[in-house]
Amino acid sequence: MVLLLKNCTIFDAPKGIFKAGDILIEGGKIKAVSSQIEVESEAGERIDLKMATVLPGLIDAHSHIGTWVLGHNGNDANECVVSLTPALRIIDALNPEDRAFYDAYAAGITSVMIAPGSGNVIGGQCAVIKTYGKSKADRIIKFPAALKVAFGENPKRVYAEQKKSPASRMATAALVREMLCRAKLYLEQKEQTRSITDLDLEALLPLLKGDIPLKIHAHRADDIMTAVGIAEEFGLRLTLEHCTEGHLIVDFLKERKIPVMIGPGGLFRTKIETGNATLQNAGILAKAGILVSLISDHPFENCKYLTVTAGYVRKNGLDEAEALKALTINPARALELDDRIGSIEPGKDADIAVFDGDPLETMTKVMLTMINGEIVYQNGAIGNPSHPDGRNFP
Amino acid sequence: MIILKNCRIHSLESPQPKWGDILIKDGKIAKIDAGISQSGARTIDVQNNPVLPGFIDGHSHIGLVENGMGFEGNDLNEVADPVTPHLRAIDGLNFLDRSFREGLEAGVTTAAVSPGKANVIGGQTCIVKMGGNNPRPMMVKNLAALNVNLGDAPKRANFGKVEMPMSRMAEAYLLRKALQEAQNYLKNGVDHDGAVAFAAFNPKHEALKPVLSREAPLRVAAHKLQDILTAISVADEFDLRLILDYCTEGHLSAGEIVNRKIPVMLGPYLTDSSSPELLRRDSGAAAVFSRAGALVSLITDHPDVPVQFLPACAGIAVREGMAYDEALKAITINPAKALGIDHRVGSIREGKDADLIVMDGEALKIKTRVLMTIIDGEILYEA
Repeated sequence: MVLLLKNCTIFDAPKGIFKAGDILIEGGKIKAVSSQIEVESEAGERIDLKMATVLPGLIDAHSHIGTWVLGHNGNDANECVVSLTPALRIIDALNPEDRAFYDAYAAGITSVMIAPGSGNVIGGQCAVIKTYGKSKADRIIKFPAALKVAFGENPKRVYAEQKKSPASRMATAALVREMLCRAKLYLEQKEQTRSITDLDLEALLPLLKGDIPLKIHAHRADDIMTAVGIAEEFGLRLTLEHCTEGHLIVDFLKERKIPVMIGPGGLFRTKIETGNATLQNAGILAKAGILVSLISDHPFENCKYLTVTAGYVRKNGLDEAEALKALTINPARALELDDRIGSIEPGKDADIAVFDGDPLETMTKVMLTMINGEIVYQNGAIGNPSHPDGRNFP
Repeated sequence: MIILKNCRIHSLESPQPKWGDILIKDGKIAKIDAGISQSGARTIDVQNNPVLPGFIDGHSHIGLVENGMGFEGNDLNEVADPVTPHLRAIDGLNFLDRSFREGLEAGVTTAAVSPGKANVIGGQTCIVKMGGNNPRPMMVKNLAALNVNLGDAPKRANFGKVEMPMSRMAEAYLLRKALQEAQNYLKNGVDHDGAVAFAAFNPKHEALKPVLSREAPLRVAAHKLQDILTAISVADEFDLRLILDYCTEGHLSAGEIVNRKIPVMLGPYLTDSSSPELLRRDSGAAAVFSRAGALVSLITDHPDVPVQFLPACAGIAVREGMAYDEALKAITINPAKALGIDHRVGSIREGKDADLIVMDGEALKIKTRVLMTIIDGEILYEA
């Protein structure tokens, strides 16, 4: 299937600039990007975008979409019965019929990293998925993609109430260390004695081998430092999620080149550990050269408004180009999938979002969303059979 | 006294902006004209930037749930009793909460504050200015509105307990019972001088008196159409003035609501819609109600959407089809009219409170900055 998008104002994400041009798509991938592409249009289709703004499909690198619906019994991302659950797989909670997927791709979001919640100290294994696909398996592009860990108030609030550990930050750190030590021994001994398979410790092996990073939920500066300290102790790669007080420890983060996933930006400061939250965080960290991505933490912020929040973050000091990179190439790099997604370049997945104006303004509409070369949204609902009645005015 | 010179005035009284000066005196808009001069007045050159009435958030819990705090900052819900008409939001508000400052820097100058959603009858709304010298900057001394919640929230508050309400049937029953008993009390519980015997004094019934006499409206927060229709039914039975908050599925029966001239306070639009009650939320509903002639307000339900994002809620409504000017009215003069405070706020007119904001561009664009916020004639924020 050949598709030619003509007359686009294309955001070149790696360079952070806009340029005019055409995009040729074939077999679900970007085939060519340049000015004035012409093809024999026999088996193909051409769409004249009339210089509309074309971005790589947006990437939301921290979300619980499809695994968490607010309301009774809607939470499938937090197994708060025992605080260390590395064996749990977020894909086992994934409901592809969650109506939020329609909202996501109708807002231009094409890839998401879904993660277990932050109720557990070690929540489980994360996955990167496309927001649309014919089947559940079709959507998953990387699994396991990271191991979710949470520091700070959430796990200790959950477990103190159950009179279990962790009830304090000391125990949170101790629990993580203990599990990592045990996993290290398991790895060493596994080569020799293959008699017992421990599913929890198995789940930690890709982490110990350096294949996947720790995805660390932390708001406060001390929690960030504790978490980073543990990662360094065990030689693990990591990303920092929320990183709310990052603006207070810029040098610490800068030296270590840790990718930072900031958000949700429009959320009220509901906890004491988020008391120093500021929309200026992303701008401050980006100016220091840190790889900043903007995330929704859906459903805590509805991912369909990710671009609105990004607009406010941009207003509060994040550079224009950097704000768009923070939704495209930056998360692609942080998720180590920039060979496939995050920019409109030959060879990459044909994931594209077209806007009728400034993508980070409330009054701009998404005109078209494409995933793997298929148009999944075009100014009006198509594609998701489970979407409820839509516009239904008598 | 302050003169704002060279303003592009969006009064919200008429669709076209006017160029001119605004004289502020004793906290009020004293004069709007070209070329005002007044000795002793501080003059500020607005440089032809847009000047609008301060934004009004018609439904919020600001100050009742404090910014950056957990349990210690939460005075939202008196879950001990599902029927608490006598409780007043003003008594739980912390005026030092940071959100007031964040809101006024984004151009919000007035907020209507309600108790939380956990109770069927939550209590009394108060209307406050977002800042000022008065430590309790309350606008309306008497009951501004009485808040009712129908739907999942009051049931959820009782989850795990065996107490009413556990179902929507009980929510409606508790509401009717409270109104009926108050009506009985007011008819029969008085002695021949028209005063209640001290032993029989009941603060709950007293709190329902202004609602039964139609002096104050009943504000019912409801998402599902079934709950909206229950509210209308109860309002009919007791002949009450009604306002519908959220009104999430209201667009499925817009005619019913518009014909009865019920003001609707829609939103909040920037939040999650994953809970089962919110499945039919549609930010295009604002356009539908507006075109049908309803009095439409857009609200944040702070802290659900922090108050400073009120203009963004209006921007979303515009994206989904609401006329730009109507969306501006939905966060200024419309909530003022719905809540009966339009004699004081909601538009730029001589005699109204000097609640004004100066912006550097189109009001509903994220990129636009508020350059100045004035409340009751005092400059409380300058960029």
